[in-house]
Formats: sequence, structure tokens, C-alpha cells
Amino acid sequence: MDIESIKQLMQLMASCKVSELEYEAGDMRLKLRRFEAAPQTGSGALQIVQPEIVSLGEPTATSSGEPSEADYAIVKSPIVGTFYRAPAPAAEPFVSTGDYVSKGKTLCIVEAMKVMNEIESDFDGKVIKILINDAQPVEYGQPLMWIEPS
Amino acid sequence: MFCSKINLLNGCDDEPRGIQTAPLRLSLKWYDEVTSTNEVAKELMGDEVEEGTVVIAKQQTAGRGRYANEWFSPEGGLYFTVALRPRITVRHIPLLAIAVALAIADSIELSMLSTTQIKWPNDIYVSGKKVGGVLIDTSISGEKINYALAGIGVNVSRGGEEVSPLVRKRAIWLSDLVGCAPQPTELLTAILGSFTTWYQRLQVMDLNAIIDAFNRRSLLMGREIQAQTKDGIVSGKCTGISEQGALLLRNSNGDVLEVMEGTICSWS
Repeated sequence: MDIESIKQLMQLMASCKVSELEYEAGDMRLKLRRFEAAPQTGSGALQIVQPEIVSLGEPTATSSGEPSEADYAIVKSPIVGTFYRAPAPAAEPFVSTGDYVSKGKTLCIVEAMKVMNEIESDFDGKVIKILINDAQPVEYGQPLMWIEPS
Repeated sequence: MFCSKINLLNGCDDEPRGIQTAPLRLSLKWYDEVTSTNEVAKELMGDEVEEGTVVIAKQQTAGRGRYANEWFSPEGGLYFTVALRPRITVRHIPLLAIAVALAIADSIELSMLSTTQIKWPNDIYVSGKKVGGVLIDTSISGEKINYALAGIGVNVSRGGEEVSPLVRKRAIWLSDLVGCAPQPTELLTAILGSFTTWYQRLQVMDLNAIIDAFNRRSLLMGREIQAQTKDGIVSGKCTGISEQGALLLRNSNGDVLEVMEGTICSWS
């Protein structure tokens, strides 16, 4: 979609007084939202503000339906070490994909030189994807999980 | 369980000079038996206990080492955890384990007059056998350390408990050594006093003091090492540790390898 097409959509929204519009075509996804300004003091006139593009860019889902990281909070490793999903080999994992977690919930362990670092969630939200297999080495700053903040 | 409070302020002769940090105020909580002192301390941290809370138990029913490895914890040993809120960066947290190991080694050597060494990263060795260990559990949010629990176990006396030949081959108790083994409480006081000093050094990033002391006590220093790492087995001569606590190995090509994560397979 080119700029002219977007402008046409914006004009259409203004003339029809549509406040929000979402448009999808292939890999393209566009979301427009229109705000009406409050009456200006003394003028008494209603000013119509052009629609504001609030989201434009890469799709949030790939053509295969897999989620991408664009809209998610990324939990990164704060240290070089080994990633563990559970507190002990036979124990249940701290979290699984699809789980809802609250801020402060332990998500995983990154062990470095016999220091067991429990990584807490900074968000309330849903675990979308766990990117590392259990007992795999991780580097500093390496993404570990995607969380969709609620 | 009963509680007591003590202040151990720079109990060592070799005090850090020019260091201005708040002293570690220690609050001791004594238990007859716990699952593990780290577990009890973790529950206490949920209640926002102050830094310096120390959980001590006569025995542990589920003492553990690295990633839930069992730590044999009969009555007669020394088992305790110090709850800390270190003001250091996450990448320096392995040095906390090294600071704890230095405190244990200093105290055992002073008590027993036996040469005490540290096998990287933090196993305590006397007469070529393991006599103590450290397990640190931390809680981290983003780049912030919420707390660290320094769990310490020292084989003081077995208290009549039998151990397997395999354990006997690898481990030693202070009561096995020639001389009079200290009471666990005596050793506790010595370790806490020494740790207060090492912890202050860590807080002000006096890394050279920590690294130099570790290298002097290192069981692996100058030896040919084989270590299992994520990149496979690496080998080389140990030249010390880095500022982040990584083991440094010089290989046959003269390159220095930095082992941040791995297991020592052999040394000679």
C-alpha cells in the first residue's frame, strides 16, 4: 500500500466519522485511529483532526502463522551461563508456553559458575514463546522468552 | 529456632583500607533441622528480611549443591546461609561465590593450620579432598539483583554417620585431620568475620584483592586442566581467573581461553 492510498483511507475516515480502521492485505497490516480535538476556547468551532497512524510496519504474524517478537516483551539473559527451565532435573518447569505470569514470578534459572540465578518476570502477562532448550548455554543479552504484557 | 544478633566488623587483621561501606549487620537464626538453609532463607526473603540474616541448622534433610545435587548434611557439620542484597552488577555475581569461598578457606586454614585450597569456582579442598562447598541462589529482575543467598556447607564432623567408599575417596571431614577440629559454632564465627571483609571488598569492586587471593589459594593454578564447556572439551595451563571469575587457560598455541561456564574434568 502506498502513501496515497493511506491518505484516501484517512479522508474516508474523516468524512464518514469513523474513529478506527484496521486494514490487512497479504503481509501488510495497517491500523488507523482518529481523534476529535476538544472545542477550542472561545472559538466554538469543532476541529477535525486528521486520523493518526498508530501502527504501521512489519506484520505481527509471519505467513506461517508463527508469532514474531515485535509486540512482545523479551526476557534476556543477564549473564553468560546455562539455561534451566526447572529448579531441579525432575521438577516441573517454572513456566510453560501459554502460562499467565505475574510480575516477580520466577521464569527460569541461568546458572553461572555454581550461582543459580532465578530470573523473575518484569511484567504481568502471557508466556508466548520459550526460545531456549533446557540445559543449553546462553550468552549475555540473549533472548530467553517472549511475554505478552497484559 | 532462636535468634541472636552480632556485629562482625572487619574482624580480620588485613582490613580493607580506605573502604567506606556500611558494615554487614548479622542477625542469626538457629534451627535444629531444616530441609536446606537456602530454602528457609528464601522464604524469609519473601518477608523482606534485612541483609545479613543468617540461617543456621544443625542438620539438613535436603541439603543440595549445584542444580539440586545432594549435599550430605548430617549433624556435626556446619550448614548456614547468609542473606544478602549485593550492590554489584549481575555480571560480577560469580565473584560473590569466590568471596564466600575465600572466607571459608581463610577460616579453615586459621583453625586447623592445614593448607586450604579452592577448586574453581568455589569448592574447598584440604589434603586433596573436598571439605566444603558454596551454593549461591539469586533473584534477578532485568539487570537488578533483588537478593543473593550464600549457602555454605563445611564437613566438620560426621557425627558417627557412615559414608560410602566413593564419598570417602572424594570428601574429607575436619575431624579426620590431625589436630582438634573446631566446633561448628567457632568455625561459623570465623567464617562470618572473614566474609564481612571480603564482602566489603566486593561491594567496592576491589577486584584485584579478590583475584589475587583466589589465585594464591587456587588448586588449579599452574596446572594442566581439561574442562568440559559448551564448545566441547578445552585444555590448557591455568593462569588464574578473570575479573568476572572466569577460569583462564593458556593452550598449546599460547592463546588464553576464558571458561565462564563448564566442569573441570581433570587436572595434573
